[in-house]
Amino acid sequence: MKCPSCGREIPDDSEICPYCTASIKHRVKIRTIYVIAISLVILVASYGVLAYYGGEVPITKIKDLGLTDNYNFIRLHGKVDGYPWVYENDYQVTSFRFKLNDGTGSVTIKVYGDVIKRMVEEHKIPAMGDTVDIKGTYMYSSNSLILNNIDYIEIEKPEHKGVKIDDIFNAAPWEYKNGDKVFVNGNITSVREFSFGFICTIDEKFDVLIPRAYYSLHILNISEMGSAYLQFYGALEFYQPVAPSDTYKVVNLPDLLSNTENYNGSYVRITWAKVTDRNILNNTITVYSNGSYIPVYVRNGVKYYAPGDYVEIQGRFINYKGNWEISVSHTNDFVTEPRWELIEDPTYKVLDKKEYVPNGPMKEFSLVEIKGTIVDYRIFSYSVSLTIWANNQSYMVYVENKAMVKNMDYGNSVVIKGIVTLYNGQPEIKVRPFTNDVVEVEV
Amino acid sequence: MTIGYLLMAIAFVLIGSLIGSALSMLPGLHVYNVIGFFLLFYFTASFVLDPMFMVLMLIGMLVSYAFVFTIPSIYFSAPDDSTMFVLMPSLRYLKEGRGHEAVVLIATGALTGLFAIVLFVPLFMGPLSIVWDIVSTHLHWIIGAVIAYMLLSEFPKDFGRHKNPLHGLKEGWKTIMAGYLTFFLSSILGLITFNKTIVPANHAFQSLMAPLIGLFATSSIILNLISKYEIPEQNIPKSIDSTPQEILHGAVAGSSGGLFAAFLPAVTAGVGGYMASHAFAQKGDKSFLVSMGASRVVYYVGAIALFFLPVLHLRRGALAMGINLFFTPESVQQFYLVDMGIAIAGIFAFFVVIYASKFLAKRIYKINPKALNLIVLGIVVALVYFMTSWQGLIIMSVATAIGLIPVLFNSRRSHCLAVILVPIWLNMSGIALGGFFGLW
Amino acid sequence: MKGFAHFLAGLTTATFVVVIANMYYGNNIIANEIVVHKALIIILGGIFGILPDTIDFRFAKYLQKHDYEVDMDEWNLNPQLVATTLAKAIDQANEENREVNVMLHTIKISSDQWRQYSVQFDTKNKKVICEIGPIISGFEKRPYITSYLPPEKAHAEASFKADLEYNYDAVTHVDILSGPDFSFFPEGNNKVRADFIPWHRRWGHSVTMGIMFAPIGFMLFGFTPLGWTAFWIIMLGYWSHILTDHFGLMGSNMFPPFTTKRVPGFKVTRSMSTLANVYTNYLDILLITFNVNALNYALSGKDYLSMQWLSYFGENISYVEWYLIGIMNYIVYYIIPPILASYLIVAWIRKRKGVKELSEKEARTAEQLEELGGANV
Repeated sequence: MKCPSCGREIPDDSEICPYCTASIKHRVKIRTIYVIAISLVILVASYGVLAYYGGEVPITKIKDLGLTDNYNFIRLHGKVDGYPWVYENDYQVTSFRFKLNDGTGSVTIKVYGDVIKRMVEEHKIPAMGDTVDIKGTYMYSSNSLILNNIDYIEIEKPEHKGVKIDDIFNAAPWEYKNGDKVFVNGNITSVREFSFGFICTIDEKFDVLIPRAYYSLHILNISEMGSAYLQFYGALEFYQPVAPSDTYKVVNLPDLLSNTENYNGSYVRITWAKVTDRNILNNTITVYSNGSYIPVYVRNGVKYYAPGDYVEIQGRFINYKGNWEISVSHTNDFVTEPRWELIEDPTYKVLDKKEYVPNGPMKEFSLVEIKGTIVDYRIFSYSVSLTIWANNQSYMVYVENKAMVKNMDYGNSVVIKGIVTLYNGQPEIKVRPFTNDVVEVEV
Repeated sequence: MTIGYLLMAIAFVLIGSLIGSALSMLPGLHVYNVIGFFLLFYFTASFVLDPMFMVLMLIGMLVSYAFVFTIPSIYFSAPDDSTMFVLMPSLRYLKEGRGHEAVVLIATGALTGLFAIVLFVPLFMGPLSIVWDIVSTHLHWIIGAVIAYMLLSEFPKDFGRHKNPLHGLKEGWKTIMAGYLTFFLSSILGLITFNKTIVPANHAFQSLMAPLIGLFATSSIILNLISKYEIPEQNIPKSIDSTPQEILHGAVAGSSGGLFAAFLPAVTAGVGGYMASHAFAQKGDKSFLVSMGASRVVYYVGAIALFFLPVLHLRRGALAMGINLFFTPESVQQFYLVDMGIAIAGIFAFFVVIYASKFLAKRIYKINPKALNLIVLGIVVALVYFMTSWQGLIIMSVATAIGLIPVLFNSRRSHCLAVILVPIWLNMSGIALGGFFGLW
Repeated sequence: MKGFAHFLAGLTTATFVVVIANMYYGNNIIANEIVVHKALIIILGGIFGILPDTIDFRFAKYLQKHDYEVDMDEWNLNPQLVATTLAKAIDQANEENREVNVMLHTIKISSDQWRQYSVQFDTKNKKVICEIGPIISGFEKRPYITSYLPPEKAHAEASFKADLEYNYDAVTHVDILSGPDFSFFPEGNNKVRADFIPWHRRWGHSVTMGIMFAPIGFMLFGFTPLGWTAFWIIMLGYWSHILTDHFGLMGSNMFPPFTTKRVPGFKVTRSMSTLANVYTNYLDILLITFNVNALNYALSGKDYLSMQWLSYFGENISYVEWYLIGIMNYIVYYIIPPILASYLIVAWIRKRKGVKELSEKEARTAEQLEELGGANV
């Protein structure tokens, strides 16, 4: 016979080949190994099926995230908390971020580079109050999730409810909920720039915040929005200028007045009250809340709180010359005017496009273009107020940003494009920054 | 995911395996060098091709390399026993006319290694990530321990015939000293390469290529060129002389060694497999050959699997680093795709190895591999020149000289790996030796 | 044990020392040095764990003086020469009252082929028996079956007069690389003691050497907490080698200037048994992992292993309690079950296949081969 290993002729009864020492008895067939190799096909098929059906990542609760999830690819499901923000350099947006809250905690979602580009192209832009299903790499140290691909985010936008500005303006905090999705109709009458975005007043009453993220990514075009009658879509947020603190006890006004001795000298907070009377001479306003009245002594700035305003008061409850009052005089005390405002979604609808009408009628919220001569001007710290003469009449012009005006001098001719608003009942042309409004002084 | 995408993925894996198998037949050519070349090409065309397809193609190349590399290492390396103390098992098999059997044993090992990757690594995903979290702050002493073991475990190879103790020491320590010399010179070469390479800056991302080719490829090609060839006629058996236990033992040892090497930075398959063969008290040529195949596959391919493993994403090995330049692994789906690709390429490469070996075994005694070795030397030199310019050629020749020391003095060749191991270890332990050589 | 097992055992000992030292010195001084300042102190455990074998096989081996050397070649095989030389040496040791050493050289045929022969001492009949075996191949030691000599040419005996005491009774095979040597020590009263490879497991494998090496720790780090830790790591790492070796049959000479003989081992396992090696390595790697986690926990409060039993003891347990409960739980959950399960499976397979346990003599024979050859590979 032949040795099955080396192929040389060996005696028939040998158990070991005398030439190559190979065992003749204990051998493994190569065919068996082929079968094992081909059995890999089962694994191929199962991985193929797994890949085909997605390999969906299970949803993780934010509170369960820990050190062992660092760099892990996880999936979260929750609501966008607040509005997105961006980091940018001189040329482009480098990072787009927002907070995600699933009820158990919150995580910062970070989007970079090309993913931002694709996000804008496919208009998959998260906004406050949206329900988001997201997959990404979790970074433990910064408690953030990096979105590596725009396909890994699913955004579900809730239905918007229509409201009127008058309903929302001065509405009490309990009448709406934070994050309620609404739309309102109106005209932008004022634009103020902040680091986080632009606060636009619509119809001189209601504030809409356009987050800088949407502006920098050219999703919301303020100049287009400025020259139209618009439907604003967004989420409501109750804006409290000063954050509540623990040292002040939230009280109900009737409670306070019925337990005066208990509360004597304590720091209290009245969350919602209406100013009914104002006495400039002794710096006092009287407010009304839940059926009771109380005088409030305001050391600074009493002139800002006119009767009819809704205010939030934080101060010390004391007895002054036999009368119970709240004294707002300590550094942490305040009187503020909290309001509902709208955080703009990355969408809006143009209801009526408006053009600048040369020498147009001074109708409220209409756009006009006036060419005239400067007869008077005053420069304030941020803004400029002008009086111009044209068409044999004088026009009041209010420029919101003084950087828009150059070479101002008496007698110079000027072209004004702006929106007509009413100021103390008188029509006035308001020139808003970041819109198509202009002040061009010809030297 | 659509069926079309899946089919495209399979097609790209097969293309990669085809290219990889063809290139891996050449002795001395390492797939990482070719992959570096491919990446260069890819960056200009990245907008055309889905990066995942490119990844799958590269994985196909890598897997087939890990399998097909067996062919040149058995058939085209010098079976010159006059220069050696002990014969490598694969060479012994070739001398006995059992080259194909050795190839089958190694390929079987590689196959078991592949099973370890696609079947067991996903199962032990959780423990692996925990272990990584635990040891990641202790790598400096773990890698230091690997180096210490490499240096301390080499025992003298002599025949006990000495006139006096001094003569005995000289005889016994000849191989050890050659090994230490190799280690020392390689680590200095590594320090220079890592800290201040003379390769021009625009090629510097490939600065390790020249020393590695010099240490491992050109030195063995030169050995092949100078040694004499007498390859006997080969037999093609239908069964192999082994038992399932031996295969299992080799597979477990080789896979653990490969996984160890894939898991830790700077440790390579040779070192890992060597340590595992000690850890599993391995004996016998058959389980050694099996473990050789398994450890190499688990090291090369496992590094990629660990890179895509959902909780780990370890970046190990040149391919993972290269892929990371244009791609970040993220989803479980990609992991499934990659594992599928690995398995497909594995089946393909296994049969390529077997049939290529059958083809060669019948003709090998007629072929003069010296011509082939000369061709490959030309290719390698051209590649080094193209990738790292003439400065790279200088580094390569220095590295070749170092790589010849273990070949000529019969010490362990894995000492050459100090070129990577030592600089990375020093960097990890915060020891700045480069100052001695005026490198910064 | 293989060198690797010794190395790992040394590392394991070192991690235990480090964890205990970290508890002892407080303020995480040691953990800080290792994790933050990247001290390489734990490696010392591995280095000194493998050092006893390094000393023996790299140095002590060459310092041995041979009185007789038996050096045959393939074309001149003479079993009688081997037997006679050994018998002569035994009697010479007795008569001249001094140590006599015989070196048995291997017979190399080609780079991969060696002629095997074996030597055996029959202490009852006072005979040395030498058998010439087959040609074997490489490290696998497969015999070429046609290469056996006819029995009358292969077998030889020689008798000696002294009473031989050979407590390590085995058939010594001489095959690859360098061969073994025997030393014969006169013990008075016509008694001679034989020692297999006398340079091995003597002073190198001793408790005393461990103590002698330990001050290197102070040389490296001074009399600082780190220095003291290094001191204990070196000493205990060295001892770990001797202890693990002692589980075999051969044993070692524990306290050399004071003792001269090897103390026989515990006979629990053969040093090259695959299972014994794999189990010790598994145990070592898992214990290292636990200790490293304990160091991390002391330093950063991150417990990645978070053992279950800890939750029964509430939140406020001290570090020592955490460590002790944790390691017990770890051993019960992760170390014992796999070892037990695989052992049972292997035992079952062996029983089914009818694999017999080696007799003690066979085990010694195997151990000898491995002591000689294993360390060389």
